Order: sequence, then C-alpha cells, then structure tokens
Amino acid sequence: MERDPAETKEQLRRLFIGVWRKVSNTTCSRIYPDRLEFDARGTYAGRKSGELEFSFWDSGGFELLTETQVKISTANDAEIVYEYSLSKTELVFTDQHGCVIHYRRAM
Amino acid sequence: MQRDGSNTIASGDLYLHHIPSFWPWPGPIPQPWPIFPVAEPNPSNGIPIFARGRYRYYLSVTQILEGFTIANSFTLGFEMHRFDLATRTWTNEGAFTALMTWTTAPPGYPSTADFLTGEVKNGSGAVVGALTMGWVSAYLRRAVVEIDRVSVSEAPLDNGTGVDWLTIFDQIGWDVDVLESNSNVTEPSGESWSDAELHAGMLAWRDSVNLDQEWRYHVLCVRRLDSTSRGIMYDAYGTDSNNVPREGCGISSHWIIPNTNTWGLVAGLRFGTATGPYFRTALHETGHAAGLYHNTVDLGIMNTTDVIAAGAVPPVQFPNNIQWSFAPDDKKRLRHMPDVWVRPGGIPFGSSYSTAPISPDDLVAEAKGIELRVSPLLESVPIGAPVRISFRLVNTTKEALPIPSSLSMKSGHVRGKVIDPSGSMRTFSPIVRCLEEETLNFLGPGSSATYSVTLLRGGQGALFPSPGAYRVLVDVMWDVAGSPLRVRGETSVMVTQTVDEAHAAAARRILATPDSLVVLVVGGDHLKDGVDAINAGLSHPVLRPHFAFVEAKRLAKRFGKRKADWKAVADLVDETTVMSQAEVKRLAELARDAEKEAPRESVQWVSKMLRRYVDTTSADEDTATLVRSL
Repeated sequence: MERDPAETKEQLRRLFIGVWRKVSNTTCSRIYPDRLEFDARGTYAGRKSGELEFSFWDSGGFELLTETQVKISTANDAEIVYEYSLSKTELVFTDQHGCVIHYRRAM
Repeated sequence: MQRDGSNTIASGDLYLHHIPSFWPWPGPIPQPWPIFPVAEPNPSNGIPIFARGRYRYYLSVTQILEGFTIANSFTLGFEMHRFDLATRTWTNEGAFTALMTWTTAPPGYPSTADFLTGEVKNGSGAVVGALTMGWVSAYLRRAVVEIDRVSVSEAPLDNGTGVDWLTIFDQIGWDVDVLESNSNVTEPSGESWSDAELHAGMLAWRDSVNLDQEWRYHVLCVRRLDSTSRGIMYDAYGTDSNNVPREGCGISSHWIIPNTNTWGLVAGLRFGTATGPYFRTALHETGHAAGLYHNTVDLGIMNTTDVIAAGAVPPVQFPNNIQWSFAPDDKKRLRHMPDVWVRPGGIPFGSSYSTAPISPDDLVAEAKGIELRVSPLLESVPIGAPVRISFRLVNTTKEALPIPSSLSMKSGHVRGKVIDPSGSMRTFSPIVRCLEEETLNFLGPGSSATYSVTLLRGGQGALFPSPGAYRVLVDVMWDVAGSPLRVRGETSVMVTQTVDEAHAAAARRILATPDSLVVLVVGGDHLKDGVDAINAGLSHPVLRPHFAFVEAKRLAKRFGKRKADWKAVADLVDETTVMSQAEVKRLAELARDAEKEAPRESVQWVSKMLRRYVDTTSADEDTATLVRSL
C-alpha cells in the first residue's frame, strides 16, 4: 500500500528536528555550521565553533519539499534547495556545487 | 565617540587623504624637503567621506576621558590596526598614546572649543607622529538610502506607526538621507527577478553615485524574487558581478504571507501591504548591506522574519512583537566596526566578525562587597530536562549595600551564558520583561538574598542540547546613581545521556519546541506545541519529575472555560518532583489561593508535599512561613 506523501513528509520533518553536529571536514564544507538545530516551528539555527565566525547557514527557515529536497534560507536570505538524505542518526546534504556536508545527530 | 550611560566607546578610521599630484618628484630631491599644504576636507561639510582605496588604519580606542576634567588635556590610548587592501586583513601595529590638549579650532570647524592636538607616542615612549581631532558632527557616520521600485510595489518608508528610517538610524548615530527615486522601474523578464537582474537593475536605475564620495545603499522594490520570498542582499558571492560588494538589496512586495497562525495579524496579506514587516525587511536587508549577519539574541532587526513571527508570545501577535531597533551588539558594529566593513563597496559579505578589530566596551565595575554564589539545584540532570539554577547575592561587608528589589528573570537584571562541552556558548536572557521603574533595596551586612532561574532555551536554541559537562555563568547587573555594576557567578552541571529511545524522543521534542520554554515561563493551554512537548516529558519516568511542576502550575490555574484541576495537580506532585525554591513558593501561593470548589484532599496533598520540601531543605523564611500556613 502506498504511503500518503504528506504523512511521509511529516515523518521526515520530525526526524529533521533536533541537534546535529557536522562530521565533514572538507574545504567546501567549512562555510557550513558546526552545529545545526532544526526546531518544530520550521526554523533553524546554525553555529560555528567560534562565536564570531561566519556561517552560510546561520538562522532562518527550512522547508522539506520532497523526500530528498529541502529548502533552507541562508545568510543573505537567499532560499536554496539542497538534496538531502536522512536517517535517525545521519543527515547528509549536497549543495548546488556538489559539496557534501555530513551531519550526525547530537541529540 | 559614543556614550551610552557611563559606557564610553570610541574608534577611529584613518585614510590617506592627500597624495601630492607631483609624486614621484621629478629630478633631484630638494633639501630641505619643502612643506606642502595638505588638502584637508572642509570641516563645515560635516562627516568627511574618503575613497575606499585610501583606507589605512582602524583605531581601537582603549583609553579616553570618561567624565569631566578641569585640566586642558587628557591621555588618549589606542591600538592602530593597519588595513591591507589586497588581502583585506588587519595587522595590529601596537599600542599608542597621545596627550590630547584642547586648543582653538581653525576656521571652518563647527565647534571652536572642541579641537585637540597631541603628539603620538609608541609603547616605548618615542614620538612617532601627531594626532588632531576636531568635532564636526553629532553623528558618527552618514549615508544615503536610495529606494527605487516598480510602479506597483510599495516604497518601504516606515512601519505604519511612526518608526521610519531616521528613527532607526538615529538610534545608532547615523545621519541617513532617504531618497525615493525611481517609481517606474521596468521588469526585465516578468514579475519575478533573479539576483543577477536585481544587480543589473541597481546599476541601471540607481542615481549616479561615487561610492568613494558617498555611502549609498540601494533598495530595489519589485513584485517577486526568484531566490527568496521576502528580501535578499543579492550583492554577494557570484552575483557581485562588478566586484563592488554590498551595494544594495531587493525586497518583494507581492509575496503572499502564508495564512497560518504563525503570521498573526498579517496572515494572508500581500507583503507590500503589511507595512511593518515590509519595512522591517528593507531595514534587515540594508543591515546585510552594511555588513551585518543574522542575530538571534533578541527580536531585533537582524533576526529573521520567520523566527520573529514564530517567536511571538501570546497574547502578543506578530508583527506586534517586532523590536524596532538593532540588537545591542549590532548597534555597536554599525557604530564602531571599521569603515570598510560597513560601507558599501568595502569588504565582501561573508567574512567573519572575528577578522576585524573593534573598540572594546567600557569595563563595567564589579559590585565590591557583593558576591554572587551560583549553584545548580541538581548537579546532574537527564538530557531534555530543564536546569534549575539557584543564585544568592551575599553582602560580605559590614554595611548595607543596594541591590535590585527583584531578581526574577522578568526584572531584566539577570542574564547569562551556558558553555557546552565543546566550548560553544549560548546566552539566556528574559523572554518576558516587566518594564517597571528600577528600585533598589538595601541588603544588610552579612545578609543574603536567594533567587532561582529555570533554564531550557535561549536566543540560540536549546541551552543544553547534548549530554556532557556544562558551565553556567550568571550575570546580575544594575545601576547605582547611573553607574553600572555587575556581579558574576559560575557553576557547572552535568547533563546525562538518554536511557532509552523513548527518553531520546521525548527529549528531542522538548528541546526542539520553542514553545516549551514559553509554557515553562508563562503557561497557557493555547500553546499546544509547547504543552504537547511538556507532556512528552511527563510521559517518561526519567523526565517526569523535572516537568511535573510546570504542568501542575498550568493546571492549578483556570484558563478560559477550563477550571483549575487540583486533582490533576495532586497526581503530578509527589516526593520526586523537582522544584526550585521559587517554584515551591509559587505552588504554595496557588494552593493558598485555590478556589473553594477545589477538592480539599488534593490541595492538602500538595500542601503536604510542599511542607516536606521545606522541612528537608534550607528554604528561605518567606517560603517556609507561607508553606506552613497552608
């Protein structure tokens, strides 16, 4: 039996919610936050380890578009669509330049 | 220079403003070297603007005259940070001092008495130059905001209730001219604009400008935006096709605000007709053009619209919770970050704040004789539970000393930081502030006053988001006769791992639901997400004791048509319930004021639990007296 796409999307949204720590250490992933928190209101906060460091994902909204695409608002307010894959403990994004940013659930 | 109460901050930007047109000297160098007149800007023209390419130094002022003097001089201390245009980096060339002496200003200065000169000495005491300062303006910086729009897009001029560009920029000491220019901008390819089209539109429609002579920020108002909903500072990264960053921004007048509760009073409206939020977006994007990044420390201009909308605490609805000012740290950046950071065409968007120098704040005096002793109610808590902190102000002297009459979080005197195991810092401050006139009480010699705070979330999200050892720093600040005082205390708390998957799920729900904090602080049945999150905590035996009081407090009060449910309160409160002293007192007050219809045995049970608490802990006299009177 096919699952209701809306139900699937809601389950995925709930799985997004929480705190994630970046495990990628590539050059291209450096602009992304070391810590990401998605909350139930559809907003997120991203932080680098250093308090005053610039993060491309710093604060704003996020919206799951499909089971593999999420839209995230960025530091200059551009809303960008990213490919993602999600499990209970791993969240992996791929940006428009092909950079893979891997996060692991911290909580 | 800026004075905020007794906090004085000063900074300087030095440009090379005269290069002889005949350099290099043609022929043999004359001896002695002739003195050439230096082309100074005309001080009667106000704040001078120099070419970006001639920026040389940032002065971080570390010492300046704070109050009055009857002498005719004072010592100015500063660090000189040399700017390298090619690498866009600063090098600290060391600390310098100058004994600045008042003298009569040359002709043209608005204030003849506010003119000083002094010899500059390096750290070794050698004279290395001369410094001249003359007052030219009450403002710190000046700029122009030009607004161009397609004909059907509104111009963002004010918030609809008296706050306009001048109001906002006066707060930070910027002299801003707002120019409504073109109202007939043509759409290049339909109603929605790409970032590249916005940039091209800015170049095509902006009034003639020389960014070396004027700080001009451009705001382009169009119907829709390709790359975002509300607004964008497009002049960054690859879109900055002319390599002149942060010249302008675009805002969308025809985005339709979603028709959901989150959007409060403007749900479903076309954005251009939602005057306040529309204007806020223009301010926000201009803030990005001035080099600012998002800031969630409060609901100020550099926070994002969706976070502010989602952050409205009932009964206040968005957009009435918009804070019409920049956050304090952003105000300081706009006043005191180097010119090249904030001016259009300066440093590209995306550099870290940490790469640029900025003058330090005045030191806030420590309140001598008062100690702040901070301790956690529990040395370890399970992940997902709030952390209850007690703090005690102790007068260690033999005299009575003034302290604030209230140190609840609502009083605004208490804020702090939580540092997680990885060293990341998150801040906490009041979510609800009572704006009453500040009163002081005198704390007797040897006496103490105890307060408590329950921590769960702060401006950056969950304060304790993962297991591990945390440091909690608490600051209590107040003014005495206009002088700011502070005491600081610190404690640590261990957050323990989840015990099973159900605990993890409940903890995630609580920590990721911003309304869980609101329910914790103010209660309210209508905060469904928050109430559900708290109930998720109550459903797990590890978290239940930590949230029992929160739910008991909610149910002990009527809400709308729901009566107080003391039977449910009694079911929640038992020997394992974790409560701070303030929470015990609150529950005792609720029990005291319970309606006559409340089941007597339920109220008595709760009173019994409270008496047990008072008998087994060192509760203060007020709390103990109240509980024993039940």
